[in-house]
Amino acid sequence: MEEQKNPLIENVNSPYLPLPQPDEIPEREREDAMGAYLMMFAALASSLPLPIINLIAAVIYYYVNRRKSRFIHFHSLQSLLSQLPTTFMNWGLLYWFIMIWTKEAWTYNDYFKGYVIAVILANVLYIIFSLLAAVRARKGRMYYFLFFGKLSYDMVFSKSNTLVYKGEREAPAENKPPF
Amino acid sequence: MNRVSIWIDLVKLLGGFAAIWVGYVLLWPMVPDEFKPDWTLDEDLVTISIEDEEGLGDFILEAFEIEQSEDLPAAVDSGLWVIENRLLSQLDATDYEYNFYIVDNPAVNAMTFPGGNIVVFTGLLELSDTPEQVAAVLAHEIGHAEHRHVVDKLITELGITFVMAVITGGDANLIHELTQTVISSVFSRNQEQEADQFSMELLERSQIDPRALAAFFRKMNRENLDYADELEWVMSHPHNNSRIKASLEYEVGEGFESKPIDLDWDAVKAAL
Repeated sequence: MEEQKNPLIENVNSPYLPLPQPDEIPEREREDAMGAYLMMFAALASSLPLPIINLIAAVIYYYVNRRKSRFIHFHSLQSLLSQLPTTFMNWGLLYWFIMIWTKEAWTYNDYFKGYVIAVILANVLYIIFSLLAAVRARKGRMYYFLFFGKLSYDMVFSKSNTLVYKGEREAPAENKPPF
Repeated sequence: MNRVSIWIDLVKLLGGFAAIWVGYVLLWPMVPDEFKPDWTLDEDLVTISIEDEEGLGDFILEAFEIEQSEDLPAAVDSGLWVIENRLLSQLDATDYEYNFYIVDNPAVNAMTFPGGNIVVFTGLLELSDTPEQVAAVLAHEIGHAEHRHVVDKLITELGITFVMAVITGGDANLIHELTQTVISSVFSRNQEQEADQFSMELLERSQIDPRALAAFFRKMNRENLDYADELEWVMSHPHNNSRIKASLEYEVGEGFESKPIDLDWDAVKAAL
């Protein structure tokens, strides 16, 4: 596949749309994109023992904001997706802990301790990278998490993405190039 | 190619976390103990003094009308004395003054009451093939006492306020409730494992082969007896086999030499 040299010029062969550059992204969009990450923290803190509210909040935020622009869509999608495994791991920990608490057959063995360490690490990484991403989003920049970044980019900036964004042309272009 | 790299990233991410988890489980046991932080919770935050525990033990013995029987056959009495002496002489520092009681009952049972009071049923003595097996059970019961499992169990089941009320008030209804709890509730799996471990260590120090514990478990399994609740764990516990295995695999220190308990066990059993 041909490398795209200048990101401002659309490469018609690329399956992806050109990325918006910082000077093209209005202040309002940057703030909404940043909010996708910061809002999770508030929700995460408010629902600590029962990690379900943060997920609901993330889904609502995603659906409310995704049509505003591709830039916002990308960041809120990345925030939502990266939150899923952390939340599931927290659920697993909570479930395991309750089982130990209520059933004698479950114990604080090395499998549990190793899992606790993995969950703590996942949460810490999630928080650190979300903060970094929030700062980048505020500056109108892209920031790609491992896996979730690429997945979100693929879903949002792919030409096969049919979602209609506010301000983007809805009707198919009438004027087409000759070849 | 682009999309493939997304899934490669996923594999990296999952692999990273799996490596942390599996790595911990596999590598952590190899780390020397002195480098490990203390994970154990301080379970002694809520507890009662040894004196109070002895008071509780007296209440319970009284409620069951258990006392040092004088009409026990001399062979049985002295036989148990030989076994318990062998163990107690190797018990380094203990807060308890142990008292062993024999109860004439065919149930295969032994119980630890608060304050270092250990009760052995004649049914258990009859079932045991060797005095070493009895020693293994007694060492297990001593383990429960030394780890203060009985008091922990009472406080967990009834609450510290209730237990303190019994100690200070000695009301008959409260004592009844307490004695029922002592005999009806079982120890947790962790507590049983701790007592097993204690038993095997004490047996080793007493020059008794720690596999005597496994021998007793297997004997009970084979006999398929109708167990009293207190010994239910021997039969019904899902990890019973792993406990037998743990006892069989227990590694004695170098230079360990087992010394048989000098008792004519058949004569003791015949006297029962």
